[in-house]
Parts: sequence; C-alpha cells; structure tokens
Amino acid sequence: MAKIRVLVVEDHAIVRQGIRLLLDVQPDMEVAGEAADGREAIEAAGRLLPDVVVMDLAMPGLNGLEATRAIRKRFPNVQVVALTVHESEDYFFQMITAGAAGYVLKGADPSQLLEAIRTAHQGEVFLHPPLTTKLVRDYLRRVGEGEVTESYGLLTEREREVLRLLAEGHTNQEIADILTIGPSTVQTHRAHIMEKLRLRKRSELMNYAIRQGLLDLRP
Amino acid sequence: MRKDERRRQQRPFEERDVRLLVAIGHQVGVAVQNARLWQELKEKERARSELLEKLISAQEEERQRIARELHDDMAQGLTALLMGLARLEHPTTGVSPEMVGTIDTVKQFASQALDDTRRMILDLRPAVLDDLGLVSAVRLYAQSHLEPLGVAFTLEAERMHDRLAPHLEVALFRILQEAINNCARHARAEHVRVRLEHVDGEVRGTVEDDGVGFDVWATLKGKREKAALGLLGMRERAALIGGSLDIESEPGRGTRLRLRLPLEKQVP
Repeated sequence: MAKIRVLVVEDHAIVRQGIRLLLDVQPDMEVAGEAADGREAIEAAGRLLPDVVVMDLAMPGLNGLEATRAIRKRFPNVQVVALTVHESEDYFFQMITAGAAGYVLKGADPSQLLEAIRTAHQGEVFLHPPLTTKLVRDYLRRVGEGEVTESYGLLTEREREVLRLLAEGHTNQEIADILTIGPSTVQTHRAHIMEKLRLRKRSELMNYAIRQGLLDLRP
Repeated sequence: MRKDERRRQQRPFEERDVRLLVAIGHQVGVAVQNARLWQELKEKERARSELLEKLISAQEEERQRIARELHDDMAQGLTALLMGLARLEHPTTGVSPEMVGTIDTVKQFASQALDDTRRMILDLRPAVLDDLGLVSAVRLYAQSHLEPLGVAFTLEAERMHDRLAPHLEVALFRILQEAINNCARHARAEHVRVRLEHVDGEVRGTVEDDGVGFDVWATLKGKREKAALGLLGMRERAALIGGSLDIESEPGRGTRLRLRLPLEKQVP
C-alpha cells in the first residue's frame, strides 16, 4: 500500500524534528516535506500534493488558519490536520470551518496525531475528544436558539435519519435493513441529501455531519 | 457738601477697619491656599494615574513577553520531547517491553508539564486575547478555571463581533479575569454567568454567581485587606480606561458585578 505522504508545517524547527522522529518509524507514513510558515505551506502543498498536511496555527506571516483555507480551496484533495497548543474552542471552530479534517492538541498523546493523519487520509475527521463534546453542545445550543443552518432545515425527517446513518459509516444495505426500506429508496434519499446540501462525496457528507454535531465521536 | 462727596473723603483707617481688612485678607489667603492645594492634589492624582497606567502597561508587556517565551520555547520543546518519546515506544525501534512502561510514564510527565505550561500562559496573557479578542479569551479562561471545579459556566455575547482597541480589551479582560478568579476561589457557586454586550455606544459586562456572597461595604472598608485591594484594583482598572464598576452582593445571595465602558469617549 502506498504510504501516506505528509507535509509538516510548523515554525518551530524543534517540533518539525519531533514530528519527523515520530512519522519516520510509522510503516504507513512518510514526510514529504516541511514548511515554516503559511505561505511556504501553500507553495509546498501545490508542489508536493501531499495526502495530509500537519498544520500549526500560530505562525509568523500567514497563519495556519489562512493557509488551511487557501490549501483546501486550491487543492481539495489535500487534507489538513491542525496540531496546536491552542485548546480554545474558538480556534477549533475556525479551523473546522476552514476545512481542517483534524484538530489535535500538542499536549495530547502523539498517538492522536497519528490517528488523525490516518483518519484524514480516509476522508474522515478526527478531533481532540473533549472538543467533540463542545461541538455537539454548541450545535444543541444553536438548535435551542432556533439558529439551525438553513440547508439542514431543508432535509426531511427521514433524510436526516439516513444522513446520520451514512455518516456513522453504514452501507446502503445496512441502512435499508435498519429503516426497513428498500436499498433503492436509500439511494434516492442519499441523492436528495447530497443535492440539498450541495455535497459531492461521502467524505464531505461526513464533514458536514460532524459540523452539524450529528455525530458523537467520543471513543 | 453733598452726601456722596463726603463719603469719598479720605480718612485714616480706624482699628475696626484694620480688623476687617485683616479678616478679609485671611479669608483670601485661605481660599488661595485651598485652591493651590486642590490644584496640587489634582496634579498629584493625574501624575498617580499616569504612573499607574505606565506601570500597568509595563507589566502587561512583561507578561506578554514571558507568555510568548513559554509558548515558543518551553511548549514547543516539550512537544518535540513527547514526539520523540512516542517514537521510542514503536516496536521497530527494538525497545524492550519493560522499557515501554517507563517510556509511557515519562511521556505522561512531559504531557503534564506541557499542560502546566499552557495554564501558565493562560494566566499570564492568553494568546487568544490578542488573536481572537475579548469574548474568546473570557470563554477559554472561565472554562479552564471553573469547569474543573464543577462550576457550570455560561457566556452570552451580543454585538461583540468588532474588536476593541488592544489596551481596552486587555483592561476588560483583566477585570473579568479577577471576577472569574473570585468566583472560583471564594464564591462556592454552582453556576457562573457572564454576559458581554455592545449597546448604546458602550460595552457592558456582567459576571453573576449564585454563591455565598459577601458584605461589599465591610469588605471595601478594609476588614479583609486583600479582598478590599482586589475590589479596589478592579475599580481602578475600570476607571483608568474611563469605565465604571459596580458590585452588588450580600451574604448568602450571590454576587453580581457590572462593568461599563463608554466607547465614544475613547481616543482611538
């Protein structure tokens, strides 16, 4: 199997070296390159087209948030995982909105970073577990205040059910069994969901579900 | 000779005239001295405020510098250490099984040290205050200081999207930080509610708790000197930026702190 190619973006050389030490012994990963600020990161992402970018947030010049936004826009196949000391949920919400598929704290066990890289590579999302709780709480608060996002409001009750099951990783057949409907009906629901939410891929659907707080990602 | 002409006639001062003039002179002298003292007092008060402002801004700069160094050197070094230790755990490095346990323990030490560093940075000068502003900083500070104690915390912010001038954000944050610390240390509250809003050209902040409360008057009179200094310090800090602070509390009835900062008087 091809290795996951990782671009390491971090302004502190010592952390770049640390990440390299960690990734070098992983049989399924390789460090494709390094960058020390946001501008270098965008340039390197375009040149190397890595599978996953490990992105620091606070950097001189163009910061990690703006770099993430630019990379996700220009190179949609490149996933971004944030690695930061910032535990503030406000940074986290901004990074997720900018298109990051992972958010890992520097103080956490480094195995979380590895898991986040692998998860992002599969087109799914990994978050520092306490932040997932915050995400769900925030969603529930917004629902409580009647501030549900417009697109989600377009979905029917059944479509929301299908969306949640799809995001949880169930196949069309499994969903058909759970809801006791035909697989072709599931397929129709699925097409409607994608159309209403303007999504193209299952991974986008997953991101959407997480952003909407439909998924509880606690391990 | 007409009456008014006779009045204008010169005559030597009699003793009672002298007494009257001396009395007037004394009064004038006292008034002049009062005015001078008043002026001096105002000057001194102005100088004191200026000095205090300089002191505070010097202290803020120093805090910011130390926080930055902790972030740039300490936190990053510990991160690299954690990564290196995680590499050692990997089976391909040929480490013995008994060493894996030790490595894991050391990893937890590094992780703990990093957590402590993060807390120090947060107390000194949270980066989120400079990066994202007052609301985000207050949220993070309250969450990390109240939630571990089991105190429920809610934050409401209205029309606070626009950033304020940095020195105002810092001053407001310091006051709210002290209020949150008081909730954590003394209030024994179950719930703390913070509200920030921008309304009628002013920023208003409210910190309310349902804790044990205290006698505001007795505290300010200085029976508990440290507590009085804390409250006076918050009030002073608010006054320095042209704001005001109002504390309502009674034993057994919780505490409500109200902070107001008119923005139109602020020099940009």
